[in-house]
Amino acid sequence: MGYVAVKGGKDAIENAERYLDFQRLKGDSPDISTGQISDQLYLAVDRIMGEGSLYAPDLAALAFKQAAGDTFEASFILRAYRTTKPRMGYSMPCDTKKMRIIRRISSAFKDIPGGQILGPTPDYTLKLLNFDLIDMGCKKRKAALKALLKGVKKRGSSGEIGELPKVIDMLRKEGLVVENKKDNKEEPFDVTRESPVFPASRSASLQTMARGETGGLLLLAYSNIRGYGDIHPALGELRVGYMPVMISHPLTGKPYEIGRVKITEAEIIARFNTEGEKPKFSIGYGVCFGHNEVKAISMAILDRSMANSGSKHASEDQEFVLSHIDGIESMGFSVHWKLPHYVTFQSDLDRLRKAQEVSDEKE
Amino acid sequence: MGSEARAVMNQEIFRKLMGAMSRPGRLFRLGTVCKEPLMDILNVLLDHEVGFCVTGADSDTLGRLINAETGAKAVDISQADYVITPAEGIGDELFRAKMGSLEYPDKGATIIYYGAKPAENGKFIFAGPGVPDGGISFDPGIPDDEIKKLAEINSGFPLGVDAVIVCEKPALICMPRSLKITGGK
Amino acid sequence: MKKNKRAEKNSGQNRYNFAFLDENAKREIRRKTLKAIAIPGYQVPFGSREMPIARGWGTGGLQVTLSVIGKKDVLKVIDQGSDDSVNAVNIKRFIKKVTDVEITNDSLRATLIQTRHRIPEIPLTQEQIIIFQVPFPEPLRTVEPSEAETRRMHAEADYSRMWLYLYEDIVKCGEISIGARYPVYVNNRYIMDPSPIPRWDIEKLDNSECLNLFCAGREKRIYAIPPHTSVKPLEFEDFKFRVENFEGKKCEICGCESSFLDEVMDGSTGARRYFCSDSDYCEKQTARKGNKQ
Repeated sequence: MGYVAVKGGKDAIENAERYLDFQRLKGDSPDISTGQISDQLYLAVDRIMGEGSLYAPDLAALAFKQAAGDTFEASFILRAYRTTKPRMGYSMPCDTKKMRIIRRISSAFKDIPGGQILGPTPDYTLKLLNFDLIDMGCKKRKAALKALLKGVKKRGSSGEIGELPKVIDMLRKEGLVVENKKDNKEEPFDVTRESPVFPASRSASLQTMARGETGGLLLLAYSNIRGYGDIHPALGELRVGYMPVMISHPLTGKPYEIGRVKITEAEIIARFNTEGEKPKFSIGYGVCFGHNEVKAISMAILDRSMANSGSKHASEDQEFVLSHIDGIESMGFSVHWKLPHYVTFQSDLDRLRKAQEVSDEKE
Repeated sequence: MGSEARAVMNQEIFRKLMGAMSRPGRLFRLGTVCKEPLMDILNVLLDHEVGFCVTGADSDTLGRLINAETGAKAVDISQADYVITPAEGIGDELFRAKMGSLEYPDKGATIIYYGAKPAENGKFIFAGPGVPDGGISFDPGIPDDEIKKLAEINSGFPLGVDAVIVCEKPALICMPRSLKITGGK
Repeated sequence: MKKNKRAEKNSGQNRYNFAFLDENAKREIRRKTLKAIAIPGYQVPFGSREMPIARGWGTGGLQVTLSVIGKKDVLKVIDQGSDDSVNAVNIKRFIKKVTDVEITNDSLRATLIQTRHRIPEIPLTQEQIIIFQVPFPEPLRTVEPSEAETRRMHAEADYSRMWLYLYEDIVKCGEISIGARYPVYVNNRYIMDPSPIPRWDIEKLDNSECLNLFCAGREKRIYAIPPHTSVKPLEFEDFKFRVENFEGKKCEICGCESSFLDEVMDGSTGARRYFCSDSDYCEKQTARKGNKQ
């Protein structure tokens, strides 16, 4: 009888969990360590840290393992962990000029002070399966690394480059750039502590995007540049590297470095016309944890597109963009229809039958 | 106090606060749950996310203590989420407290009166959400004039302020802004 | 090796606080809950935290429950009226794990009831708090997608579009066709979404003895109906609000003719059968009958 199936939920859930664990444990392959994940699947780890909004490579790797490779689920697990942690304080503002760079390019200028630095990028790698990677094993892996580094001169730690000037600053000096409105608040809005209200401050908007789901941001940004919007962006600068995070020492008040985070930063340039004023450029800004260029660029495009007045398209409407890009929220709600709805359905059924009666009476 | 003991106390006091806010006029005794009623209640509500303002004679000392205990920032009354005042009341300064906006009435301040001595019978009749039909009469232990001012400020509901009255005995009474106050001379 | 050890330590279950949320998170939810009680029916924005269950699966109700709950509480969780449905069980399992409070199915013994889509049939008392899980806190969303605009409408108590919607509904369907989630007027000021409870349960909110708390985790809103507060469904003089019609039907288990019923299709015969939606109520009715016999 259908009704009885509703009972016994506890056993059903426990068995479902066991079955799920079984899916991950079955098979004869050796267990993956979280260290292997953070070393070798680092881009997944970066993405999870961004969307989970917690910079913790070890925990992100663990979440990825636990979620069997589902980045939505892994980011979700990481965020649920983050919730339980108190916020101890604010860092000082990070000046990204101080970033230790591993990659930095500009598509707006051929040559930039400090030079174009390709860094670790798959942009020009042919998308061909590399069959050598199948079951490489430790030995072969070490040999490959040795061969790779043969004849390479060591330059500091892992090839980072120190402070480089920002490309955008060159345009600023020439008076070509409209500055974004600064929020008047001393402290930035914190979307994890306050519910964003619309119109959202820029700090709330940037934070929401920095936590956003990469695919969600990409979709909206793409819709804009494809024609549902009118941003024609140039990539002013894209940089990837390690950002020292400073706090003001609680006793002495002096800046104190508490660690570094790997970030990707994108600045896009697009034309901005204000009536009665000289046309200028304006900047769209994107930044996120880890190495995730798709996300940083999409975010920069959306930051710029939302600055357009009189939004005509989805990607220009701040409330629309910010309400729909969070992966954890959109995923949760889109799949919640799996939950039983038979009370509401019964209620709808009652209304439908009544409406049919009314319509029969009319006829 | 250890953080776990504090958490337990916060929860118990909060339930009294929530009870008092949803049943205005009813006295909620704190006898067994806390030792220093004012500071313990402030610990439930205040942290570094909110601003407070202390009025009255000991305002400086008390202000410093509250900041040290809770991390909340001392601000002008016009900016304060929580206004802390002796039971004698604030007088006309009350009109400078935040009342919220029609879009966000919840931004209206909470006024916390301490050291109140409520008497058995009051002059005012209170009605509205949380009060059974017909209304009730009680004495919140703050001056009649202060009650009238609260009534005046809250006449533009949903704009207004909510009052938490901490009694000496240790007990709590609340007067949310939704309360309709009539009577009194 | 070192790395792994660290990760292991970080993931230990004992690293979670009593009631999961940190004290600052609880503080914020508590502050907002008090404001919600002081302004009945008004949606207070709050910094909704991520919970270990998915958004849309009761994270709002859960956050309020966890900020309110203490060791002495007795908790009941229902989904669609049932204590045993998978989502209710899952939420109970989690709360039990992080608080170790006593769990009950008994609607009368519970001090806290977290619910999705139903209010128990037995009238709740002043000792009880009921916490509703809310998917859509904004009743005006049906007529207006923008949050900025619906906020203005609430600010000015400008509900003309909602009334127009109901009127057009009647013109189209000959009846108000809203099933569950029937909008209500609270304290004669705010139009409020009572969460997707059936119309059957709406009158239980009016002038109730218990405190009613509502929370939408994904949409980040808390609102409340204090005890003894006026709650009226929207209706017209000539088109009255009507609850679901179960005339001539009764529960096949307890024989009750006065409770909200689940309709079940019998797979083999195709016949429709009816059972109490409130499982605790049904069990109590059945037991009472058994005693009589």
